[in-house]
Amino acid sequence: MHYGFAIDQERCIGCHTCAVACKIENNLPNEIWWNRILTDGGSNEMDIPRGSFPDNSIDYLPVNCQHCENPACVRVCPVGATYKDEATGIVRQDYDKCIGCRMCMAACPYTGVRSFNWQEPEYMLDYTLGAKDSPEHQRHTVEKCTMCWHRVAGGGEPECVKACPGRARIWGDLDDPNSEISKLISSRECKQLLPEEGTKPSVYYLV
Amino acid sequence: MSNRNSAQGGLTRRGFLKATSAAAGAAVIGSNLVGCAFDAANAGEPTEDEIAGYGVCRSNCMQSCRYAAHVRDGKIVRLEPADYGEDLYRGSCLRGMSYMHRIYGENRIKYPLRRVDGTERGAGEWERITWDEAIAEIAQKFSSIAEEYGPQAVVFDFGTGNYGEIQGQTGIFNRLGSVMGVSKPAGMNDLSTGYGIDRVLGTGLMYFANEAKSVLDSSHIVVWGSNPVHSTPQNWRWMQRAKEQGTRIITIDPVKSATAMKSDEYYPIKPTTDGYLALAMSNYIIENDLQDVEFIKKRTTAPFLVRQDTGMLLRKSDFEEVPEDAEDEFYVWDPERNTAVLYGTGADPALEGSYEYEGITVTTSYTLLKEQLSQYVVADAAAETGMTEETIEHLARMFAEGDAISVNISFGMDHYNNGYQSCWAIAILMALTGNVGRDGAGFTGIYLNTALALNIPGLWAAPGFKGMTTAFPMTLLHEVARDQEYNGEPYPIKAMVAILSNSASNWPSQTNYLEELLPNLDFLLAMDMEMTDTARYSDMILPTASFYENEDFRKAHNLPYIVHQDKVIDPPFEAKDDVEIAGLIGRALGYAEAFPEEYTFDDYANMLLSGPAVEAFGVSLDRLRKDGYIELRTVPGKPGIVGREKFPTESGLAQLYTEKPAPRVMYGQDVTERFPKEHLVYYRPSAEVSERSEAAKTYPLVFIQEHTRWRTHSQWFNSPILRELDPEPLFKISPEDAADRGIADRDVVEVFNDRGHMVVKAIIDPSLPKGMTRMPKGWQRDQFIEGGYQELTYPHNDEWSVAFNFYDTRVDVKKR
Amino acid sequence: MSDFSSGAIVDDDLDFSAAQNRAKARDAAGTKAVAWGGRGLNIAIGVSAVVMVAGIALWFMQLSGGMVQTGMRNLNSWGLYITSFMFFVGLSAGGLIISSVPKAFGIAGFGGISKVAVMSSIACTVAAIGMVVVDLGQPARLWELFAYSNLGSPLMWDILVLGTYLILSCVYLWAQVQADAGKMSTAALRVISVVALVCAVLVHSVTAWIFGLQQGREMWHTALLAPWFVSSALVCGTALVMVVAVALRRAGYLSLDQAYLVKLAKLLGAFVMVDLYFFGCDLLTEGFPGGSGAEVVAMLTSGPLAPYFWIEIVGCAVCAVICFMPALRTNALLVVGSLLAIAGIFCKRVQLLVGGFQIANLDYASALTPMQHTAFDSGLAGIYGQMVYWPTPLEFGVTLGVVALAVLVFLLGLKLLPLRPADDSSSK
Repeated sequence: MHYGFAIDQERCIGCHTCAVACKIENNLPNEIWWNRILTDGGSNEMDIPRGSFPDNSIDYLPVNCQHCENPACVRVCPVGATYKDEATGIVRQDYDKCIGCRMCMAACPYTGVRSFNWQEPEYMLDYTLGAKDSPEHQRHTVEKCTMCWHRVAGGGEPECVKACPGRARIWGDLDDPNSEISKLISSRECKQLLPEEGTKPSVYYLV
Repeated sequence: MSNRNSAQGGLTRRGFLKATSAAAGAAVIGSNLVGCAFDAANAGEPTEDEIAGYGVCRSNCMQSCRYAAHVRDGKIVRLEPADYGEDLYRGSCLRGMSYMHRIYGENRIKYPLRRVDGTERGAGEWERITWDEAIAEIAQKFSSIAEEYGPQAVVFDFGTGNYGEIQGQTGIFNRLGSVMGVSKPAGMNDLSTGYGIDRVLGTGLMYFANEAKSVLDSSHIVVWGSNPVHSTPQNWRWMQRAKEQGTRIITIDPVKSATAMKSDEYYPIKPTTDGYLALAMSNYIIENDLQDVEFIKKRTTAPFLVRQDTGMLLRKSDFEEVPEDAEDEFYVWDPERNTAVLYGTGADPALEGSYEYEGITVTTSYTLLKEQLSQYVVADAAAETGMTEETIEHLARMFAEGDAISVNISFGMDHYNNGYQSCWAIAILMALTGNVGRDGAGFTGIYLNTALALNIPGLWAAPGFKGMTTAFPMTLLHEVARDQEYNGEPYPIKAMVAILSNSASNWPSQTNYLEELLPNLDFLLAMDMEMTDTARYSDMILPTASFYENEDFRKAHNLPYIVHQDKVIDPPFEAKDDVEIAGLIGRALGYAEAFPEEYTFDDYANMLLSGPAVEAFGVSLDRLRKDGYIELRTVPGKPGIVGREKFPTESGLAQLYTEKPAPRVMYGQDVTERFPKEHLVYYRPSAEVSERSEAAKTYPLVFIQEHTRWRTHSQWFNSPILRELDPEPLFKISPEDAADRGIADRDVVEVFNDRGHMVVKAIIDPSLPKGMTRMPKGWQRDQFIEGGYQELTYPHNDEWSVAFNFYDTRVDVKKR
Repeated sequence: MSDFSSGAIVDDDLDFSAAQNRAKARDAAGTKAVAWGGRGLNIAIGVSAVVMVAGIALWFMQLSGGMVQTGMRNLNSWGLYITSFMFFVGLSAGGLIISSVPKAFGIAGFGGISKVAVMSSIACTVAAIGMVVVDLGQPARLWELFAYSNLGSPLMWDILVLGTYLILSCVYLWAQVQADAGKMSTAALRVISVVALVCAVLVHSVTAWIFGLQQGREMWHTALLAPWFVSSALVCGTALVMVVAVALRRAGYLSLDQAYLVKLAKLLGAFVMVDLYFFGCDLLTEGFPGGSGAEVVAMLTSGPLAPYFWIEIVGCAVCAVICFMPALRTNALLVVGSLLAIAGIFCKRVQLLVGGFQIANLDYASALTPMQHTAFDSGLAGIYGQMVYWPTPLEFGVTLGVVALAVLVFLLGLKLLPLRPADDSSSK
C-alpha cells in the first residue's frame, strides 16, 4: 500500500477548511498549522491574484507533508525519529524520540511543511480537541502532517479529506490501479511539488 | 533585498511546481502490494462512539451544513460534516468546523453582565450579576417604560445570528414581543433583490431562487454580482460540478472576483449599471427577434391589455361585478375576432398592438415593455456599463440562444440604491428569453423552501397577543429615537433588545447608531454569546446558548430539507437558551399564560409543527429527532424550481407589466412622484456610486464590503483559530489608486468620507479596477486602529425598495 | 605523564638540545616571561569561567522558557548556534593540520607552536560540540544518538567524527608531549599525525556534508562544499594559530622565530587564495546558467547578505596582500590580517547558514504565524526582504558562554599542560 493525496486545483477554492479541520483533529498547538494553503498568485500577500485587472488569475496550493517516497527528512534524522512506514508509505514522526536537532527541517525542500514546537505547546481551549488517540505535542520537537495516522490505522480517511467542502482532496492507495486516486492521476494532467528534488512526493496536484 | 523585489515585481521562484505527465503519475501504480501490516478489515470511523448528536449550522451564510458532534467529557471535540440524502449537499466550512472555539473560547460571555454604574457605554466596565437580578431589572425597566410611554417604546431588534425556527430569528422572542406589543422596525437586509424580482415572478422578498442543485441542468450559469466561491461555497460546489459536466460559467462583476477567476468567461462592468446592461440586452433581443415567443405567450403577461387612462390592466371587473372571492380575470386581444376576450378563452392572443375596446384605449403589456426597452440601446449601454457593444450583444445572444440559463444573483447588486431595478431588469431579461420556471433556468442564490409552511402564527400568537408594531424601517430608527416622534406624531422609544443581532456593527452608517440612537435609549439589552459591538455598547448582556446547546430545527437554506438540531451539550457557564430566557422575561412581566412555567422546547416546537401543511410532508418533532432531516421536495427527485407549474403571481404568469406597484414598506414616504414610472422596468442611477452622482465629485473611490471565508457578517469576528489565519482588517485598493496615493502593501491608511472614517492597513489588490476598493466585512470596532468600516456606509434607503444600501458608498483614502 | 597533573607550568627541563636558542628567545621576550602563568592567566581563567557559567544559566533559560526566545523559527530553523558550530569546526582544523602536516610528511614545521596549536584545536572542538548541544531542543535525549543511531544521517557522521576528532586531538597532544619527553618514537608520532590529519580533513568534509548533501537548499547543495570547508578551515585555523602564536610570544609564553611566522603567513596567504578560488568557482557555477542559482549570487552580492559577502571578500583579500607582501608582514599587520581572515570565514558561515533559508523553495503567500517567523506580521516581503534570521540577545549570550568554555579549556591547557615549545629538531 502506498497512500497519497490528489488535490484538484480546479475544485480547490482556497477556503482553508482542510487546514482548520487538520488543526482541530490533531489538536495542534497555537500558531501551528500542518496543512497550509498557499496562494499561487501575484504578490507577497495571501489571496492576492496575479496579473492586472481584468486579466487576473489565482491558484491555491494546499501544502502538507508530501509523504515522499524518497523522503529527505528520513535520510538525515540522526535517531530515526522521522521514518517511513513501509506498509503505507506514510512518513511518520516519533515525538518521543526527536532530539530537536531540526536536521529534517533543513533537509525538507517543502518550505514550512515541518513545524517545530518552539515553546511549550499552548492551546486556545483547555481540553483536547479532535482524536483522543493522537500523540501529545511536545516542546522542542519537530512535527508535521501524519496523514491522520490515527484515523487511517483504524480504517478511516484523513480528516482534511472528509472536511473538504469542494471535494477537492482525494486520498487513497497509489499502488492500487483501481483506486479513485490512481485513476485520477493517470487520467488527468497533474503536477508535483519540486519534482527536481528527487523526493518523489505522494501528493499530486490535478490541474 | 534586490532578489526579492525584482523587476518582475515580487517573488522570483514561482513556477517550481513542475508538470509531470499523466504517464509518470501512473508509473507509481503497480509496485509491491505485499508486506502490508495494515489491518484494512478494521475499517470504520475510529471515533464514532463519541457522536453525541447531529446538528445544523444556523448562521446567516445561506447554507445549512449538517454536522455530527463528537463529544468527550461533556465537550465538543470534533464537528464532522454529516450526510444529507444527496452527497453533494454534505457541506462544511472552516467556520462551522471550528465552532467549538466560539463555544468554549475566551470570547464567550459567561454570566449576565451589567454595565458598571457611572461608566460610559462602551467603556468595557462590567459587573457580574445573577440571572434573578438581571430578569428582575429587565422586567422592571420594560414595565415602567410600557406604563409611561406605551409598549411600543421597547424595540425588538431581530438579527440573523441563528436560523433555528424556535431559538432563531423567527422564533420564540417574536412570541414575547407579540404579547408585549413592542416595536419591531421593518427589516432591511438583502431585500432589494427579492423586491425587484417579485415584480416579474411574484416570488415575494426571498423566494426567488431555485434549489442549488438545479444548476446541473443549466447550459449556462451567469454569476451576476455575486461571489459564491467565497460567500456561498456550498452552492459553488454544484456549479463546479456543473462546469465539469460542460456547463459554461459566465461572471459579470465590477471586480475580478474569486468566482470570476474560476469562470469560463468574465465581463467587468461599472458598478450599479447592471440594470442598464440587462435592459439593453432585452432591447437587443427584441430588436433582433431573438425572444422566446412561445414562452412569452404561454407563461408571461405579455398579451394582457393595459388601459391607457388608468394604467391598470383591463379586467373583467371593468365591465361587470366580480365577487370578492372570485378571480378577476384579465382581458387580452383576440386578433381573429378583433376584440378583447378574457385570457384563455379565445384564439392565440395578440402580443402587440394598441386597440380600442368599449371606448377604452388599451395596449398590450408586451408592446408597452417593448417601447420602454427601446430607449436602452446597446451603444448607450456600452458607455454606461463600460462594456463593449460586442460583449453586450454576445451576452444577449447567449441568453437568447442558451438552452437553460440560471443566474446566480444573491445580494451584490442588492446593496445599492438602485438594486431592485437591476434585479427587476434581469428578471425581465430572463422572462423574455424563457429562462425561468423550468429545469436549469431561473435564479439561484438563496433557495428558501416554499413547499412547507410552518405554522408561524401558532408560535407567535400567544394568549394575550397584541402583535408587534412595524411602523418604520431600521434606517429611520435613529431618527425616531432622536426626535421621539415619527411622521410628526409622538413616538417614544426608550429601550431596545438586540436579539441574535449585532446591529451596531451591521447596520449602515454606524455613526447614526452610536451618536443618535444609543444616547436616546434608556436601556439597551444585548443577548449574545460574544462581546460584539452591540454587546459592548449595551447596558446589560444576557449570555445565550450556542447552536449545539439546545434543541432546534430549521428549514434549510439552499437545501431541500428541514433539519434537526440535537441538544448536544449543556449551555456552559450560566448561558441559557432563548426558550428559557423568553420564558423568564415573559413570566416576570406577567405573561405566564403565554409562557407557562412547565412549557419546554417541545411545546413551542409542536405549535410550529402543527397544521395540514406540516402534516402533508409528514414532518413531526419525533421524526426529525429520529431521522435528522426530512426532504421537502414537491417533485420527488427533482430540484426545486420557482414557477415550475406557474409563478406565484396573481395570474400565475411572469409579469412584464406591474399593475399595482407598491413600495416594500409604507412608512410615510411620498411615492406619488415615482408611481407612474414603476409599472415598467427602467434604469435609475445609483445614489453615490454612479459616476454622475454628487458624491463622485468629492470621493473618487467606491467602497464595498467583501464577504470572505473568515466570517459570516460579524459572526466569528474573534474566533482565535480563524484569526491565526486572518489576523487583522485589511483594506484593499487597486494598484493604480494605491500608486496615486503613494500607498504600498501594509501601509496604514485612513479611509474617509463625510460620514466617518477608519484607520487600517492597506493591501494592493490587482483584481480591483481603478476606482473600486473593498474590505472583508465583519470586523468589530476595537479591531481597527481607529474608527470602523461601517461608519462610512451610505445611510439612506430607496423609497420603494426600503432596504439597506451598504455598497452605495464612496470614500477617499490617504496614507497615514 | 606527570606533567599533565603537575598543576603548574614547569620549565622544559627535559629539553637539552635547544637551551641556547631558547635562552635567546627568552631574552627577546624580556621581562614578561617572569610574570607568565601568574595573575593575568588566573584572571582570564576566572573571567571565562564566569562567562561560561552565565552562558549555561542562559541556556537553562532557553530550555525552560523555550526556544521561542531565539530568533529561529520554522522558516529559519537554524541560527547562530549552527553558524558558530560550522565556524568552530573550521577553527579547530587549522591548529591540528598546522601541527600534524609537518610531522606527517616529515617536513619542516612551524616552530614550537605545535602543541599550542593542537590545544587550540581541542578548545575549538569543544566549542563546536557545545554549539550543537545548545542548539538541540531535547539535549536530555542526546543518549539516543548512540542508542538509535541512524548511520545514514550526515549529522550522525559528524557526531561520530567530531567525537573521534576530539579524542584523537587529545591523544595527539599527549603523544607530542610524550615524544617531547622522549617516550615516543618519531615514527609513532608520525603515524598518529597521519591519523589526526585524515580525521581533521574528514571532520570538515562531514560538517560540509551536513549542508552540502541537502538538495533542498540551493545555497548548500554543491559538491565543492567539502573541499571548500577544508580550505576555509585551513584559512581560519592558520589565522588563529598565527594570532595565538603572536599573542603568546608577546605574553612571553613561548619564543618563536619570526621566520616561523613568515612561513605561517605565506601558508595563510596560500590558503586564503585557495579559499577565494573555490568561492569564485562556486559563484561562477551558480550564476552562469542564470537559473535559480543566479538568485543565490544576487542574494550574496547585492541582497540581504551582501555585507557578509563583501566583508569576507575584502577581508580575505587584504589578508592575502599582507601575507604575500614582505614589507607588510609586521606582527601587528599579520594579526590584523589573520583576524580579518577569521572574520571573513565567520561571515562565510553566516552566508552559508542564512543563505540556506533566505531563499524559500515555496515562497507562496500564506497565513503566517509567530511560529513560522518572528516577523510574521510583516508578510513575506518583510520576512525575506531583509536577513531572514537575526539572533536574539539570548542566543548571543549562550554562544558567548560556549565560546567562554572553549577559552577556558584553552587557558586551562596553557596553565596546566606542558605546551611550551620543546624545540625539537623537526621544527628547525
